[in-house]
Amino acid sequence: MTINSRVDLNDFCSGHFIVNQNRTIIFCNTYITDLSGLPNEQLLNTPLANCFTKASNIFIDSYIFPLLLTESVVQESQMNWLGKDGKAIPVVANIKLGQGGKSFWSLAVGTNRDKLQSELINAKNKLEEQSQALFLLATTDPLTGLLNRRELLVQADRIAHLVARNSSTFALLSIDVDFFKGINDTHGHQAGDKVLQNLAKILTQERRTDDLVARVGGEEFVLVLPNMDQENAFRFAEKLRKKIECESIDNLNITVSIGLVVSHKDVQKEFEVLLNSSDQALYEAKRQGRNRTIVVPI
Amino acid sequence: MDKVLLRNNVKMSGRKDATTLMLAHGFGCDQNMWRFMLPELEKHFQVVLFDYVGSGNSVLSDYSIDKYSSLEGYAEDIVDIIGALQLSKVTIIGHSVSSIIASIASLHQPEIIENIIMVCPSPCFLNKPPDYQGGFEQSDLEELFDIMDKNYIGWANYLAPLVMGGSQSPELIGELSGSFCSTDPIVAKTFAKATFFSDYRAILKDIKSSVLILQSASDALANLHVGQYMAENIVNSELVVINAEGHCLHMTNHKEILPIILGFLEYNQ
Repeated sequence: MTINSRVDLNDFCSGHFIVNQNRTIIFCNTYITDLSGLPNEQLLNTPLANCFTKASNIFIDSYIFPLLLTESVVQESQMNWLGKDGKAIPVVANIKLGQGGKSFWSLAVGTNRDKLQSELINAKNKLEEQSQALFLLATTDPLTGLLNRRELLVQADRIAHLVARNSSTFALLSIDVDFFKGINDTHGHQAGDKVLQNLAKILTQERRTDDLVARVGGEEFVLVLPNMDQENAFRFAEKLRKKIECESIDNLNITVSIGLVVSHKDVQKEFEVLLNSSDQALYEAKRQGRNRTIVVPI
Repeated sequence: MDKVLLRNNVKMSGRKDATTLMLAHGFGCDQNMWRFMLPELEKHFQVVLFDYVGSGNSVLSDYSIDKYSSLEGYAEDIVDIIGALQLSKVTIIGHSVSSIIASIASLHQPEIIENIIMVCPSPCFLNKPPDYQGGFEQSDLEELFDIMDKNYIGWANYLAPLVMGGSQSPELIGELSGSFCSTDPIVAKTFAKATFFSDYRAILKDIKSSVLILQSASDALANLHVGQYMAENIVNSELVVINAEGHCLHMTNHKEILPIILGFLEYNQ
């Protein structure tokens, strides 16, 4: 057979049809008639829109034709052909614009490809969900939902730089529950966990939008308050301490000790260095009898 | 350059001394949709082209899912552009959903948006029995989102940054993806949801602008009843049915609709 031999399009295992300017099918091979379940004479003069599902028609009108008119060719479009009894059949089509607004369509059934793509999309969605869950796991404390120590260091570093650039200061509070071991020993670990959760709630309620709240150890919490000077920070810490003292948490009266440090306007220190000093102040608060706030002098 | 003009990739052309005509593209593509009509329109008008944030060459970093989950967000783009250009009178040609977006904008600025020319509009794509047949059921639209997910068109811009590395400039990424219908898949789906799940039939009676509705005789997205419904409910409106197929009259039948547009505007000046 030479290249010029006449070939029968009906012998091919792919669909070919021509659509005129009025979006009517004016030619098709038997692959297409088989796909539709209609005899050839009935399919000819059928509007293109009748051959595809409604959703595919939106896609054809919003993407395929605008693209075709601009770029003359559209490749590997996936749509749903309307088969016998209204069944949607996934097809993959290449379309070329011809003379006089005619378009030449070549397509093949792509059921397996469609399944594969559905699986890919599901896998992608699942991955996104998992990565979000992993992100939460990596950045928060599961018991209280507060930031964990690692994420606190990341975010606090950012705040430290921002505040320094604006020639402002930030306050750092280390907060520790007094006699927490006693609560665990007397009332059990579950009661202890509840105390921590409720304390987390109070801290979250009391903070401003931009403040960071983290649980950094067993019963130790940290608050970072941007744009706050020592006087205001001390007032805030004392208000917080008294609030916790007054409120009974699960019928337990608990108190906290607080170590407070405020960053220096001119001498920038690493956040971890400041955290270390607020911890020292916290130990000092414990040593002096607990339920108090001790400030690291600037 | 004004932030809004950059954000919405605003382009101006045509006659500076003439009436201002703003061309608002529909769901799917961008301002390039108007390229077939543009040369003729430039002879008669001052033409303002733009892309909605998220489409075409707009600034993607200004995109917010919250804002653009409803057509009001897109209408804000139009209002912002009118403000940035300090337009006092404007005619908007809106394709498909942009007819409704322009209408929403006109409720904010009735004295500025004098005329709206609607190309294949629909105030509601969903069927709302018993009185209104938008043409589509919820399940059709869910299938649409599935098709969008499965077509590379919607993925082009999503894949481009991965291929090129996230640090590349947005212009370069836009160039790689090539086709003017490419949008970020999240942006495209948000626009699709805002478009196809919306129901703005209630605002039609409040439109004060003069309206020309250009309806295609056979349009899978907006059937004849939809055009008639709009004409009946918009006080100051005129419906012209074009004997044509499809949803993109401004691309396929621009030669036919141009004289109708010119006539309408001459009458309404």
